[in-house]
Amino acid sequence: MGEHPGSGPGDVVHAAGVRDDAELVAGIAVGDEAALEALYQRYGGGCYRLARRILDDPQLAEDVVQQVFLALWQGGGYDRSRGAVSTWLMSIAHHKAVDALRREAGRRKRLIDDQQLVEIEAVGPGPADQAWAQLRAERTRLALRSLPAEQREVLLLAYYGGYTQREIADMTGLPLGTVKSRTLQAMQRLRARLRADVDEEPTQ
Amino acid sequence: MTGPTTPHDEMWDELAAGYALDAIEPEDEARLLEHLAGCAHCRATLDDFTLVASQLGSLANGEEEPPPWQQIAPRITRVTPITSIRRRRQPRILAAAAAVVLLAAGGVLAWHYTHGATSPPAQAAIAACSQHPGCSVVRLHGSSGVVAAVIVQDGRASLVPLHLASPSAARAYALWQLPRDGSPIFLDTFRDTGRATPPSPLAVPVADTTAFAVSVEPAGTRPERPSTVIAVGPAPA
Repeated sequence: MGEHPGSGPGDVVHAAGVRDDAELVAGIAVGDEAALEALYQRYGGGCYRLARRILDDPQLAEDVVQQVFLALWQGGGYDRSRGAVSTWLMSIAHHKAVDALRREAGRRKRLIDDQQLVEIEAVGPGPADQAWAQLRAERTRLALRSLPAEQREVLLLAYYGGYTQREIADMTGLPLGTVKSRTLQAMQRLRARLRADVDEEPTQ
Repeated sequence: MTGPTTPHDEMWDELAAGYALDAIEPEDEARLLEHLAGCAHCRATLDDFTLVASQLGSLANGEEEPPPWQQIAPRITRVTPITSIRRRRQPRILAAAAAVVLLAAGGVLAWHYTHGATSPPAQAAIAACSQHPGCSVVRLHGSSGVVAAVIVQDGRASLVPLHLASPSAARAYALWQLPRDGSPIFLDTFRDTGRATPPSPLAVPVADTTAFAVSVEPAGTRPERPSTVIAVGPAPA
């Protein structure tokens, strides 16, 4: 997520006086509104921008962010076995955005063409984002560009386009099995490329 | 983790990759969730792919500012306070986790916690429940993750401590049932965190329950309302 320097695979540890993610989640479990607000300030922007990118609609994106933090407030479903808070929130935001996209079938873009894919890759963190987030986004972008074009296409159509693999097969004319195998290859390559970044994630 | 070595592995890895991207069809999703229950390799793969997907999300950073907290807060905290949790549709990734818990059989329950393994009796109780069609496990989330579980069966509830510290002499834990309408209802109190509590009759049917919770109370009392809620979990759908 963009606005927080340490959002990553482990809960973020902050300087003295700043509550870390685990403390905030604990606070939410007992109805601490300030804890919820703090997590929103930390990760709401990343969730919102992801939803904007998928839905291309500010109101729908706002609805998604509200649903994400409402889910957290209502008992969450989050626990540490699910990974970092940031990863969990992003997963929920993506899932809800794709759900919204599929409900709003008339609004969805029929096809993300090559130019749109390039734009997705080219968009960088905003000026308010922290250095680590910028670095991480840049590394992710480089990892994405290292993929063969045919793998990158199916990956971005799925993640940012919100298309199912069967829909991607229909629109590209590829066999469904090819879409699945290309997606897997893309995810495996990204995993290998990004794992090093995860290992370097700062702890404060 | 090693890469796929057989066609079997590759098929499940393909499904896990698609699932992490929210891109697989419902029937494939159902197959994967069932498979995850008994396959630690695929659960680890899915965790990896979920992390990759979240990093893809970092590319969505741009100039757009999220709505200010003051704008959306009333729609969250003031409309739905924590004490009136409503039953909700679990996000799919959480459904996967639940499926892992509820479908695991034969005492090989993959119950991952950050504070060490749960005690064998607790695991046995949960595993036994998972094999019984009429039994449900409710995970109670506390400050460090899942700290206890409630086993609900035949109109009774039993609290299974998983990671609850022993209370001081002046304190005890209390188990609460949160009905769909109305205030939390006291079910039981306990101090022994080494074993499950005897089943207590539910105050209202589980179908009319939104959540279960554990609070800390003065020892020797029967509280009318929760003092300090330390863990809560949604009732089974």
